[in-house]
Amino acid sequence: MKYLRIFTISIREQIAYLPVMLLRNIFFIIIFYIFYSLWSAIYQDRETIEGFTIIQMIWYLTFAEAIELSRCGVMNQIQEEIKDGSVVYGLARPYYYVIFKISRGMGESMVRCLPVLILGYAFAYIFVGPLDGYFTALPFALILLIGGLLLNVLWQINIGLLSFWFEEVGPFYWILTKMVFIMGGLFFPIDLFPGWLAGIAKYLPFAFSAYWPARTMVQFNQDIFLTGFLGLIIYASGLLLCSTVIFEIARKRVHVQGG
Amino acid sequence: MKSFLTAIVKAFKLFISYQKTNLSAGMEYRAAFFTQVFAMILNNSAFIIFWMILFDRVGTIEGYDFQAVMFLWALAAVGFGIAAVFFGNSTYLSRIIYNGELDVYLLHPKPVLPNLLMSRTHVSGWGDLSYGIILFLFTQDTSISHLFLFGIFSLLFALILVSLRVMYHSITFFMGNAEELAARSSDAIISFTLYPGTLFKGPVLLVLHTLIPAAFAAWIPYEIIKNFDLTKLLLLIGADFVIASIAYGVFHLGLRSYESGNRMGARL
Repeated sequence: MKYLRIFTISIREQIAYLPVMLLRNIFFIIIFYIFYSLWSAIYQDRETIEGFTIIQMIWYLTFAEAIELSRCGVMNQIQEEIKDGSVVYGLARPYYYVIFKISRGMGESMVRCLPVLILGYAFAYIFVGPLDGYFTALPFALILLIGGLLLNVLWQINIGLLSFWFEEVGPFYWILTKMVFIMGGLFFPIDLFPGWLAGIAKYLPFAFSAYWPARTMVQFNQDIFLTGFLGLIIYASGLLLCSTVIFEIARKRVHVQGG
Repeated sequence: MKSFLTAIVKAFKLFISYQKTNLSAGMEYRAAFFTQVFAMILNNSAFIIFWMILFDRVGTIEGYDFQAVMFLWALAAVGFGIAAVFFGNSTYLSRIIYNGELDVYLLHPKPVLPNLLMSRTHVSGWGDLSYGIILFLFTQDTSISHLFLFGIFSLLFALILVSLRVMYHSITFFMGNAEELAARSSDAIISFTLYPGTLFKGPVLLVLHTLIPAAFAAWIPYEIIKNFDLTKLLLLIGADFVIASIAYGVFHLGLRSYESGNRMGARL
């Protein structure tokens, strides 16, 4: 219950800075326009690419981008707390640090995601028209979208906790995000990869932060959703376990001096 | 004429001493320095895979092939790297203005804007710089003339990027915190320059020649390096200096309305 409360407080904090948050979405509009221009040029002389029409491709990109652009700042918070030593206050409070960070991160991500989803719907509708089966797929895709956000928060916590050993953990996160960009199918569906690479990339954890939620949205069927959901459960559990182990090892390195 | 040359020499000396200090500060955390540089190279390399797969699937896109897009990436990476390494404060101007931290720079016996821009470095910018150069060497024609032009275009790219940031951050002088707006305009020019210019049509092109001058930063340089035209090159240099002058003018106009925050501070 207390974690739910932390989650709602995090949402309220984000809403307090609404104008800044909305201004941030200008980047989504820019990216949307660039991708729309790029794919319109590519689709000029073809109807489909690997089974995706231009309508499906644009809606796919808006959905994948919604997850990507909703990244929270929990890694930086953890890094700062470890660097300046304020992490010890978190250890003394009546909550488990990792779960606390998940609650905060999810609250932040979900508030950031909503305007991107709304903008994505509006722009994709205006530029390429409606997506068939949108409302049927939406509840299932939203589950995977929230799962994609959760995976992102968990990656950030894992990397943030590495600050106990490394001076600067940002570079690890840059590489991770690029893995999601390329191997996770953020820029285009993994189906466009060469066969051997697609076979591997579809089941790597990065695909569950972009490809599976977005593909569920545009080519919904039960198998696609269940594959995405199963992968999500496996990787989220793995990352949660990993962050707990890292945290427990790191906790032993914390020395408190003075009062 | 003599005083103009003296001013240039002084500015260059200031630039060199800032770079020495910034580099030695960055190297203080040697492991973090090399981790950031190496990670940035890897980070940027990911996009090569994206374009390779895409061009493999679809052939050329609006007259651009893989090599042409890699030119845009190399140019943007080196230009962005120059701006990050040598003019690192260009992304912090709004914060410095509204926090009243400009006072410190106003008291220095140096030109305010260059002094302000050069006084910070972003270590990861070395990664962008190295990546862009490596990418150019591996994917482009490396004749002396092309290398020379690439060097000029990279400097001009940095000039436009820094000018754009100065221009948008200077809005803070007049209308309050413009940090988000400046950050988004900076994101916009970088994002657009990484894609073929021929993709964009209609009224957007006007924006890409004025408010977000991506055309001057990357697409016109690509046309010039593909089919060299001296007149076009001179016009481009002229246009870039007009953009820089506007940014300089807007900043100094804003500086007139700047009010000290009475903040005590010292730069060590």
